[in-house]
Amino acid sequence: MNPQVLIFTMVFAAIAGLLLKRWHAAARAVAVGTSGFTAIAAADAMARATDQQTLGWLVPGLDLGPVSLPLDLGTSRATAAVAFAVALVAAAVQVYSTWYLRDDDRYPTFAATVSLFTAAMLLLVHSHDLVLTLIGWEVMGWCSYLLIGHWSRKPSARRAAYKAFLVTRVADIGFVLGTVGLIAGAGTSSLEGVIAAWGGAPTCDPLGQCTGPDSVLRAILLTLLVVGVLGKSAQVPFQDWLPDAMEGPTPASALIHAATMVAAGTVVLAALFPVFAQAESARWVLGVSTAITMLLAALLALGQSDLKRLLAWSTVSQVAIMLSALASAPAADGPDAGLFHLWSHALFKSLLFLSLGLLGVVAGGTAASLLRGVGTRSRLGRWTFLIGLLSLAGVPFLVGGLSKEHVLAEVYAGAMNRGPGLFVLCSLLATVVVTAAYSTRAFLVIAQTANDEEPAADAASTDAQPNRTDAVRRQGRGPASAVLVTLALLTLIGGLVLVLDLFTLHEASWIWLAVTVVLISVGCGLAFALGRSGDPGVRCAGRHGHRFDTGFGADTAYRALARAVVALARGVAFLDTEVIDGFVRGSAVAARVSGGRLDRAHRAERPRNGAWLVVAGLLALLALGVFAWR
Amino acid sequence: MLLLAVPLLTGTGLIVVGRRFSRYAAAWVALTAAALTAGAAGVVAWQRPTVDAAWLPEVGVRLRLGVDGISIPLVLLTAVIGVLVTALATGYVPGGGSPGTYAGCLLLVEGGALATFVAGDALLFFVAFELVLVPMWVLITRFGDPHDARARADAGQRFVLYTGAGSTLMLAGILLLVTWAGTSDLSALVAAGAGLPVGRQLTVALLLTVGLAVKVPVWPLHTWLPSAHTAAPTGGSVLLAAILLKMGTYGLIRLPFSVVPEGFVRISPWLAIAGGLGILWGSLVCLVERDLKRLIAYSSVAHMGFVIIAMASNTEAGLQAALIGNLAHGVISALLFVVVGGLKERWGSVDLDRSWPALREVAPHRGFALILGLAAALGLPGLAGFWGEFLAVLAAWHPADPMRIVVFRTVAVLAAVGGVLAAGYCLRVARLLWAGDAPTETSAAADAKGGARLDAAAGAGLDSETAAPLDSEAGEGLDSETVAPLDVETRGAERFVAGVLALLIITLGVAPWLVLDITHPAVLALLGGLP
Amino acid sequence: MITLNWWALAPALIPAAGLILVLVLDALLPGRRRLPLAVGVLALLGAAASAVPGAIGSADTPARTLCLPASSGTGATGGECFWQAGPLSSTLQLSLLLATLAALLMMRDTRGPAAPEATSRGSETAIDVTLLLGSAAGGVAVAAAHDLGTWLVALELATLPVIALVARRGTRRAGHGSLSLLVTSLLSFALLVVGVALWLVATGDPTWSGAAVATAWADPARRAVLLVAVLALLAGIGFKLSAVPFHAWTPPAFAGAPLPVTALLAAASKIAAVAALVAMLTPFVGLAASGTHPHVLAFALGTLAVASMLVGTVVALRAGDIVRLLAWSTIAQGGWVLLPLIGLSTAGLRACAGYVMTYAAASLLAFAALSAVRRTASGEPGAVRELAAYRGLARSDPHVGGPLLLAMVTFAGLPPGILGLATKVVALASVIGAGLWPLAVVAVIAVVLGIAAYLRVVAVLLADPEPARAGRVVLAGGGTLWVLAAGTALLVVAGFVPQVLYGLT
Repeated sequence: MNPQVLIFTMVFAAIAGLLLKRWHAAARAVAVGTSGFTAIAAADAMARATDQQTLGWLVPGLDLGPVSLPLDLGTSRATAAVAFAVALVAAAVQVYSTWYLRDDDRYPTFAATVSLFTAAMLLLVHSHDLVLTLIGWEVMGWCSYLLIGHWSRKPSARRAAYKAFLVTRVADIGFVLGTVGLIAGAGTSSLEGVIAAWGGAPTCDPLGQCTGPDSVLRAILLTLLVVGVLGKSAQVPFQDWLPDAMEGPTPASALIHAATMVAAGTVVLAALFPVFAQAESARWVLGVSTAITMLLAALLALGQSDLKRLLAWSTVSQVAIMLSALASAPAADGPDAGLFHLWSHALFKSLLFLSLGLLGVVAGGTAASLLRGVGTRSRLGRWTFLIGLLSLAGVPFLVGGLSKEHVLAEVYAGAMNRGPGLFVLCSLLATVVVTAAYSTRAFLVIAQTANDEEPAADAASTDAQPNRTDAVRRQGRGPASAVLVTLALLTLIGGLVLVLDLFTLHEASWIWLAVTVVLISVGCGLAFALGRSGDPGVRCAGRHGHRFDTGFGADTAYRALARAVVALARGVAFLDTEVIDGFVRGSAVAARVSGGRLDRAHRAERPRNGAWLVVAGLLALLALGVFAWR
Repeated sequence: MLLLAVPLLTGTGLIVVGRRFSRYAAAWVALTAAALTAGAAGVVAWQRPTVDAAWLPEVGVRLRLGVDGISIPLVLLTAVIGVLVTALATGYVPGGGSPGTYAGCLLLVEGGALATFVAGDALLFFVAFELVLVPMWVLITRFGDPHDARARADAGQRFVLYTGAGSTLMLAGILLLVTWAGTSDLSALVAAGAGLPVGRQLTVALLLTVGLAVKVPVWPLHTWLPSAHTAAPTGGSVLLAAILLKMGTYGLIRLPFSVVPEGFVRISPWLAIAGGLGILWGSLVCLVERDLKRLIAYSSVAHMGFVIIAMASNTEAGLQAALIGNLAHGVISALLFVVVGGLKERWGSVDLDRSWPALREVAPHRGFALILGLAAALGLPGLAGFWGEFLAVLAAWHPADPMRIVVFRTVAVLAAVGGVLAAGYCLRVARLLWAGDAPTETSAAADAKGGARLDAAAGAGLDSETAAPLDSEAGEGLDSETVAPLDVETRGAERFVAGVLALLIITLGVAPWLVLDITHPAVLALLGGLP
Repeated sequence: MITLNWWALAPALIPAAGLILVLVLDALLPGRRRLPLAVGVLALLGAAASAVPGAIGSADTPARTLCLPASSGTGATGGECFWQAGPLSSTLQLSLLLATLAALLMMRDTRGPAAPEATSRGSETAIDVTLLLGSAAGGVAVAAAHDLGTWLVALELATLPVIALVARRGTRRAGHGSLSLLVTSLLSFALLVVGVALWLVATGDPTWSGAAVATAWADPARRAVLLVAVLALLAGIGFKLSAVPFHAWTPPAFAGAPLPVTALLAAASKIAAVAALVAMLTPFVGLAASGTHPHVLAFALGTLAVASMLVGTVVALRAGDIVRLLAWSTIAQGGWVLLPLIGLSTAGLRACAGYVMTYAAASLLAFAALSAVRRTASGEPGAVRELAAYRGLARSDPHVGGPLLLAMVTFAGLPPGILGLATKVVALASVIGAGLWPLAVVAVIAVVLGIAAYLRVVAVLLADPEPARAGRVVLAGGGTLWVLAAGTALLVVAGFVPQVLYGLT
């Protein structure tokens, strides 16, 4: 099944959704139908995935003389798998939101945006052309703006959307410039062309005449590209927008976090891996950033007072893990370990978000204090959440565990030869522990029955659903439950995808298995030790809880930057009106004034004064004559 | 050509005899005329006829009219915009004169622009270029913002004098060129001009570029634009942004770029720098500008900066980018001005420091048009803005002359940064005008004040530019001014116009080759003239 | 024995004859108002008609007459001719006659229909007509005069009657105006006489012959004399053109004279002055063509032109009295008329002629419009001077305000005043063609200032008429309407086909 179909289906869904604004039922039908179809088609494509191949595209390419933009699509085994994950999550989200947003007056817009979002991601996954990649990239950014700001009546949601878009857009400076540089250097924007032009190492003959790509320029360009990726994937120093993005409806968060936007960076770098592997410095940048991010985010997750934000930080951490695989994998091995982790992460993270959404609805919010013991009230939610958490923690043989071990193996292989591998490895091992810890904490929170010494004071919930009656909650909940069950099953058995041999991976070694088990148990033990009475997160965060919630004050840094820019802007505005325009006004005034002067000079017209002028002029002319005499 | 005769004659007729027409009569006459013109434009674009007649033998000017790949898109754009503005007039005609005069001036401007685009002779081009000045001036000074007569007069005078100065400089350049090259036929000039010695080419290119840069406008010659836009009526702003600015860029491509290539190459780095500065400058001002119409005007400066950069790169990609960017900006700014102008007509002001009812809530259609326009303005792929800007950066990354590559790459970086700033101000507008809560009629003032507070509280973050003033000024503003009416939904003609423009934006964004394929051969022909 | 070709002389003779006829008629049957007017109109029309063949004739065979026998003469044509009317000068004659006609028609109306049929009235009309015809004959003669004497006399003949016309109104303002006009024109006459004398000394030839000038130029000593002569002549003509710094008389004279006379001053006198200038410069054009460029002359012309353009426009920017505003604009336009001459080329001469004709048409239009606006139905015509009183004229009375508006944009050189634009383009073209493109930059400033000045008026004309409507009443007599219609038609038509204008010259 070729990718155009997938993409166009979703685009069509988006348009239809916008046109069907008035009729919610119809919009629902369209959204579910199309996304379901796409999911099945993608599954079929994955099952019959072939090797790398490039496909034409309905749109003609653009020929700009020295630069040509073929705008091709393409598939490969890995992309087929990722596409399936995307489509699956999208379908799950669509079905789920029919229940979750049942009484939302803007549901059709929401569904349409989700469809567009999915289309963009599918485009990006299948793109064999940097321009198409850029298009998908930016469109996703815009859709995330719309989704996060869906409840635009809430100021906090408005701000979160604004922040998310601006931060990612700032990072996109790098992405755009990197893309442009690569395209310009290669003379074409097709992936093959770019890889061919920039892939190899420069060969220099004894005279110092180097042929092949300019390695310095390549390093710069790819670093720029990485900056863009860091922004979209919310890595340090751009990490702070993602938790705020929790202002969006939970299904939107599931979509953004699980399969699409945040993971997009992984896909892009994987596509460019042959070039990326050559650029040491770019890999270092990525490696260092991800290494820091994964640990930092995991720690923050541990201390969040709101489980939804906890999941957000966990996403940041997990994406860091994917990217770290790319950063440190040996050039020979290829990017597939990262992609596999992306795949599995898509499954369990969507499961986590959606089940948390369910719990949140039951509990009336997602703040830890509200969720306390909610698991006892909704057993489905409790079990699906548990499965998700186990997979997140990386328990062996669950899909999350498998992928994480492969990443570990990959990073280890990388650490053996030069590159950021070693650094990443240490941080990765530490992260495994913390991840286990906060997963346990999350489960403890929902599982433990409420005991009184926990003051449920701060019911400040990010996901402020209009509190709905039980009736509404029950109504049409069936599909949602079905989705949860499906995702849970897939999370349990998803590892079998390796049978399809879509990803080229080493087989995970038993040593790593053992190591992870040990580490995980350490983490869980830690959490249990802390959480014997009450929420371990609160315990370890202690008085600094709000610090954790504000992401160690990254936001203030952003504000400072923004203030600086605004100050600059004010300066410029002043210059514009006072200086540049001043010249214009000045000239006008000058003309008027001189006019007035001359007019007054002629007011008192007496023949005499005319005569004086005459004489003066005459003298001037005669002087001229005399001057001519010589 | 019928193409020119219809709008010009009808326009004059309307002005002369139309004073006793009712609003509907005048507007509908104008609309039919515009529609006829559009039809003629279609025919012209299809068959590409040419006209050639003696006109001013004294300086060897002939009445040469014709179109090619470069002018066809602009001719079509002009015709469409003409129909749209006259359609707007059927819905609403600003006071200040007889409707006949208003519609007539609209048509005259359209006709002048068309004449500019089809002129096949340098001096004829100049005459057509001047043709739009007075009608536009009348539109601004007579029919403009009813609240402030002095600002209107000032804006109009500034517009006409500034652009008049520019076009006279251009005239000097043209005459110099014609004297040296010995012909004023544009097609013949391409050969004759390229033959001139570099020094002369440089002189001519300098005069022409400076003269035309006023119209574009290129930083720092842009200060006439904001006031003109603010004062002009909606139709006027649309014409100004969508057509008049294009005359500047079109002139740049037609005259200095293609006729004196070597001279133009010499000055193009400076042009590119001016363009890059313009992008940053305009975007930064937009971050703090209070009046929405001024804001859009400054964003026009920024977008034109992209076009200028692309052109200055002297490459095929650049020229294509300039052309499509030109077109894209035309439709985008037109849409934005339709939306915002409508708001101003209803609200009396579009001061961003007051808090308004959120369009998304009270007027979904207008809100959608606004958000679409903003998205396009920040260069979102899939909408018209993207191709022009991306290709511009791409072109600037490797310009034709490798000596200046550092300059151009710096400019490319500036442009990319400008893209971010664009996102900043577009979303700022979206946040203040589109998103938010709908105050109920009764407690609007209180709500608005509260909303202001909320926004301020929310805005304490990334966009502290709104937060700082909001707390104080929104309060006073609301005390003094009346509560904004909630019913600002687009109606009838306005909705039709907005719809068409939105459709155009999406079409251009999804299918850029529709334009690029038309322009491609002409571009190749032009670049044949390049060294 | 001098040859005599009556047809060639007709344009000058017919007005003269008309003049005599009017006097005779007035003596025989006094008190008739319409008669002298009719005679005057017929005379001017006839003269214009007789000028047409020369205008459409070709440049290389000008109508020549009053030629000396070949024996003493030089050149192929046989002898020195004192009367040469090429197409250029014939066109100037034609336009001059038409301009005078327009002034006459306006005069007919401004004598108010309410005027009592007193003998004094009648004879006054007769005198007016006489003076008009006189100045017309003089102007026509200047255009064709090829020898210094005729030239000088004709030029004064063109000027002095106008002074009388200005003075005849008898008001204090008129006296003031006519006095300054008189003083300055006397001065200019003195200068012209000196100039002519020096010219004679330098060239030893009583005609504007190129050959003599060339020989004089070759010899350094005589060249200096010749230069001084030319400069003196230039100064003298500068008065008629009211070029800065010889412009001081213009505002008071314009403000003092009755509007028809002002129109005459603005249009006909200008054309006459240009004709004189053309006659004087023609030999130098030949000189410049032959390679020796008289830079001093060009420089002098340039200074006059630039000074007039700038000063005139800048002051017009502020003038509050519309007639004074037009006076200053006349000064500025005088600069524009001089501008193309700087190149000292045939193209320049033609550009200059074209410009002055456009300008004359526009200013006639403007003054005709002004003369139609009065305080009260019986009030003195053209008494409404302050700009504010014209608020919204174009909207309340388009048949008068429209032409005024057209005239303004023509002055400013903006479409719809395409003719004004075209003539400006041609003028600049000839300057730049002569390689003097720095002057073009000055011209840019002048253009911008001009736009500002004239659009000021246009803005007033388009404003909301209500406040000012009470203060004025618009009634245009038949003659004025004729002028308005004809002028508008001329400007519009010629705007679309400017080639006719230059086809004639």
